[in-house]
Amino acid sequence: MTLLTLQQITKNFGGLTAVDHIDLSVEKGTIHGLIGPNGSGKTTVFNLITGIYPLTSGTITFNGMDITGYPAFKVNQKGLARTFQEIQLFYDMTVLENAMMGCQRLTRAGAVAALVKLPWVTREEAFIREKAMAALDFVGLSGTAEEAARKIPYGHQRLLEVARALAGDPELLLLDEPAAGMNHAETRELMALIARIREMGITVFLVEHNMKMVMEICEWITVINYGQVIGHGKPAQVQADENVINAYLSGENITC
Amino acid sequence: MDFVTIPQLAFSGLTIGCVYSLVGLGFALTLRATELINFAQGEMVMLGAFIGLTLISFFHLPYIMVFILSIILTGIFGMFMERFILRRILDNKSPLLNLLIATLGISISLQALAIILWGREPVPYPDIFSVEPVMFFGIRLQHLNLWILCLGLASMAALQFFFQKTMTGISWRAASLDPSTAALYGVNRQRNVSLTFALSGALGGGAGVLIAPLYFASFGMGHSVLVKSFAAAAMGGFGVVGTMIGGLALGAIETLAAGLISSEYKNVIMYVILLAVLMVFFRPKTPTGRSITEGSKVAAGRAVNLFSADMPFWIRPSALLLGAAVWLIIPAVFDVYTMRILNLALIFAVAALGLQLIVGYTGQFSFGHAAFFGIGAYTSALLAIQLNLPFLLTLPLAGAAAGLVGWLAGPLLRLSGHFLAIGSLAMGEIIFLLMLNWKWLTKGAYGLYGIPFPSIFGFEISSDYAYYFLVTMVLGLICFLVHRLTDSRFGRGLIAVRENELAAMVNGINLISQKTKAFVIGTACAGIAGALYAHYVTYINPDSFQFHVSVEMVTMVVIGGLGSVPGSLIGALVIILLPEYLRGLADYRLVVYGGLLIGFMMYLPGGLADLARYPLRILRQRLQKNVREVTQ
Amino acid sequence: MLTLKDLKVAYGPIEVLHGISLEVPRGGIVSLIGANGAGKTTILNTISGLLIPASGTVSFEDRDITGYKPDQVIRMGIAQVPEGRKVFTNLTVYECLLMGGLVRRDKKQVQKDIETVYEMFPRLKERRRQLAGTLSGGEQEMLAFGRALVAKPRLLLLDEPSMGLAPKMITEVAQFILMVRDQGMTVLLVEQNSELALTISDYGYVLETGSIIMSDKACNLINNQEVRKAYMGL
Ligand SMILES: Nc1ncnc2c1ncn2[C@@H]1O[C@H](COP(=O)(O)OP(=O)(O)OP(=O)(O)O)[C@@H](O)[C@H]1O
Ligand SMILES: Nc1ncnc2c1ncn2[C@@H]1O[C@H](COP(=O)(O)OP(=O)(O)OP(=O)(O)O)[C@@H](O)[C@H]1O
Ligand SMILES: [Mg+2]
Ligand SMILES: [Mg+2]
Repeated sequence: MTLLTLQQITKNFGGLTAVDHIDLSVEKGTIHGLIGPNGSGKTTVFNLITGIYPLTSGTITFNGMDITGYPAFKVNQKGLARTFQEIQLFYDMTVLENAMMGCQRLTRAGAVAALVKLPWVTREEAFIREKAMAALDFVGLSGTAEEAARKIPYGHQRLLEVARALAGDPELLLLDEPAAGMNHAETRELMALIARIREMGITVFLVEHNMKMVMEICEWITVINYGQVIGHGKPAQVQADENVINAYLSGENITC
Repeated sequence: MDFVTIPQLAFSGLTIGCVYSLVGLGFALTLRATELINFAQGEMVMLGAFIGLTLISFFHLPYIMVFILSIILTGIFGMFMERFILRRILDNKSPLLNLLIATLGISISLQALAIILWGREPVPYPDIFSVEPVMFFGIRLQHLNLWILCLGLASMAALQFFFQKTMTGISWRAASLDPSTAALYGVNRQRNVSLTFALSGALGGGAGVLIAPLYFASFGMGHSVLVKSFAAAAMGGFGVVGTMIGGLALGAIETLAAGLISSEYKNVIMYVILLAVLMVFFRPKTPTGRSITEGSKVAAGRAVNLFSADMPFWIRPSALLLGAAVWLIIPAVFDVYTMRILNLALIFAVAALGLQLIVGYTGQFSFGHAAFFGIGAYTSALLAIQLNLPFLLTLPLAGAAAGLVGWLAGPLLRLSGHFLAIGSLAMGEIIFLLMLNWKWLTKGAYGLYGIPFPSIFGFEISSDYAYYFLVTMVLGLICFLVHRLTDSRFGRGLIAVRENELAAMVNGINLISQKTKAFVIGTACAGIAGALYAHYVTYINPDSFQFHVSVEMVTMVVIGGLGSVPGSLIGALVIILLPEYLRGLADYRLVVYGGLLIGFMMYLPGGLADLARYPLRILRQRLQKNVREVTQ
Repeated sequence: MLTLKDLKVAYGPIEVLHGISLEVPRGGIVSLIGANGAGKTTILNTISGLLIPASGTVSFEDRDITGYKPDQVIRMGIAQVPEGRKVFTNLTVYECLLMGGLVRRDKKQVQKDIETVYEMFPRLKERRRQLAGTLSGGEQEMLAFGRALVAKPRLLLLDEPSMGLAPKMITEVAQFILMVRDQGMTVLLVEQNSELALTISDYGYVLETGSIIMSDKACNLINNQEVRKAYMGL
């Protein structure tokens, strides 16, 4: 079953077409990779899906629902969570509070509820805390729950972003270069983490330049260049694709 | 009205506008370099005018020399201000609001000093230019005005060239975007911030010498151009050419509106146009920008919780007892005069709490809070006078009225950062001007007399002591409610918006709705405070709800400590009580008061609440240890 | 050319470098590898003058530059490509590159060097009027690299220059590093991609929680079992 469908989506920035009539669909329960040279439009595709930028044209369907033109908060409420290429945290909040912000879509207490504080509000608050703790546990950050987010190391900040996204039980998780700035060991752990996320039934849509990671964990890969799809298929197919090699993978080997 | 009237008006409007532009350029420069809204920029104008006056009347220098010397001297002054006051605050990486309050302190001190040195009365300038106008197609062009326009346009052109075409200009822009990376490429950040302040001081000073012959030199002259030059800069997106156009447009609109439509509504018209321009051109498309509270010590978890589970059981009852005792003892020991000031301070604390929610928690500028305070005051007063409604009804209605207007103003919150600062300021001024001009309702500047004391269940609360209990109970209730609000899912949402709008929105927060809710609750608090105020002083007029009162409220919040509920209380107490207790200093009172504001910002970046946290934390540690020993 | 002696650096009360000594010979590429949070960025920032060491010395071409301000360090001929690119978001690509040449006197040559950077990264030329902040992550990395080249330093400090770059671009950048070395620039390279870093460098240092635990010819390190296991996952 397809979870996310992009039909002919296009984005112009002034005279530049960053995303050019892309068609793409992400199957439920898979890990889907999106790769392409620098500036080919991957991050822009994510920004279009999550409603950060309005589309120039095209439609986006999520879970059978037309979400074209939805504002970012509404997209999230429908069950789509994401992380950013440049980490975006609530830096003056604690790690736990950051994760708690991820549960927004599962809960509903507003200003009035906060004022009257009926028993259900207290219960909901406990639920949020529990959810957030579970998410932190899942990525291995529960030890630093009470620290300020700005104080934890860079690699942990990336994981915290993932935890925050997971806390809301999303159906689809978009990860934008999660391994950037990570070393080998950390990348390994991250790969295992993503595999576990998929096992929980969450579909993962991934942008990444680390080919080992992409080829190993993705079931499907879409390659774009200059905002257009230039290749699609299983990792092995993509790796062998002449176009893809020329545009993205190739490079002479350098030796000592 | 003949056919030359409009061009004639337009010409004088453009001249005024050019002055706004010059001062506004100074604004834009320092804002670009440090993101600071420099409230002392107006005082540079005043300083320029007085330095010029001194040079003319004592040293009898020719005007051109006077002009050049004044520019140099105000420039040096601007540089000193940066070197000795602002640099330290900048280096602390304190929040923008701290800087802003420091410049406010500078402005207050300078005005007070000017009064001491040159007196309160406006001083006329000798005629310098030939008063014989140049005629141009029937329009009379004064020499002075022509000078102002030429100099204004010339400085704009020079600055534009500097920033766009010279390497130094580009490096200044780079340094303002990312100081440490610019330093890596060889920019001496401190020097160029210094020079920026010198330049903006010089621009202000130059404008001062130019307009003094038109308006006289007076201690308050800077203040009167401050808001409009800020508006000019904002209207031009804080760019060089933009600021120039913005200033000229504002000047022309103002003068034409006064001449052709109505002088009472000229400023209303001007502010409405300003808001329209801001909303159309300067609404950010994707959220970005530094949060205004960044760097403040507002981190959740910094608050010291004395009531957590690991503390001894007796701490809550004893804290309550202590609180109650202090509450009851205060009226027993203080005299009527003290009680009166204290009550006023507590009333302002209610409003400051509301503002804390908007500024400290949600991270949104608001320079129009006093207007909502005023709406509450007028609503309650009018309902009581005209309809004889009881206080227990008018009080909540005042809050509701202010909240309603806050809700109507909600779309403004689509603006961000400095644009929101000027937007909220303009909105506050519009409300103020309407209070002044809707005479059928508010009696205008004459004000409302004979507002009845509150009477609750038949008791009339007229003494200062009785009022103390009324105010403290309302304040207590509001504290409790604000605390509940901030300590909840809703409150976390507010802080998230403050911390990172982009991250907030992809985590399911509706930015506009969240900000609007905070704004409505905050303004409702101001409304309630306004009602308390009206029935206490029993006479109100629009002056109490002007821009400078809004600024005072922001000061309370910042001095107390951003994002701290007790901080707002402390801030209100300090800001209201301090000037009273400095009365003994007579003329020097405001000099010292301004100096204290500066000092607080330099040495207490986290606000006064920070001062209390340290002993509390020690207390907590002590008590915690005891518990552990007992259980072992 | 560059010598660090017993460098100790602390953030507030926490010491993160516990006495670092290293040497970068003229005309060579030296790489510095180590896990997240080991202190690599801290070392580069101390050399550049953004951080002031608690003790120890930094000397460059036999001159003690410890405690120099960043704007003095670049005038000495040391340029850094900072971690996380740090382009000037509201400047155009062209203006950002110009900023690289800020301290150079030969302004004509700066223009030529900008042209060279455009040749290396045609994408930057295409986008020379775009605001740097709206570039994609990888494009910003190219810009940061180009900006440092325009400074024409004698010593180039690179902090994770491959972050966010596509595989093809990584090999290109690696080649550019070799190219500038051949033109006489000396390079100190910090990388997470240790395999790549050691492949192109002459000498390598391994940093662990603020101390150097190993240093050797790059060819030897790359074949060292421990290094391979810890930093290359092989
Ligand atoms: N706001 C904008 N204005 C103008 N151009 C933009 C804007 N945002 C992105 N672009 C351009 O659109 C193109 C696509 O950018 P995008 O960030 O999607 O690339 P990407 O595939 O994520 O690249 P990378 O792998 O380097 O992160 C880039 O060339 C970029 O310069
Ligand atoms: N501004 C800071 N304040 C306090 N501690 C810091 C600061 N910056 C870095 N640290 C700490 O100093 C140590 C070294 O950090 P540094 O950034 O130099 O590591 P790194 O080797 O560059 O890591 P990475 O591979 O993640 O870039 C880390 O433990 C980090 O948490
Ligand atoms: Mg990207
Ligand atoms: Mg680093």
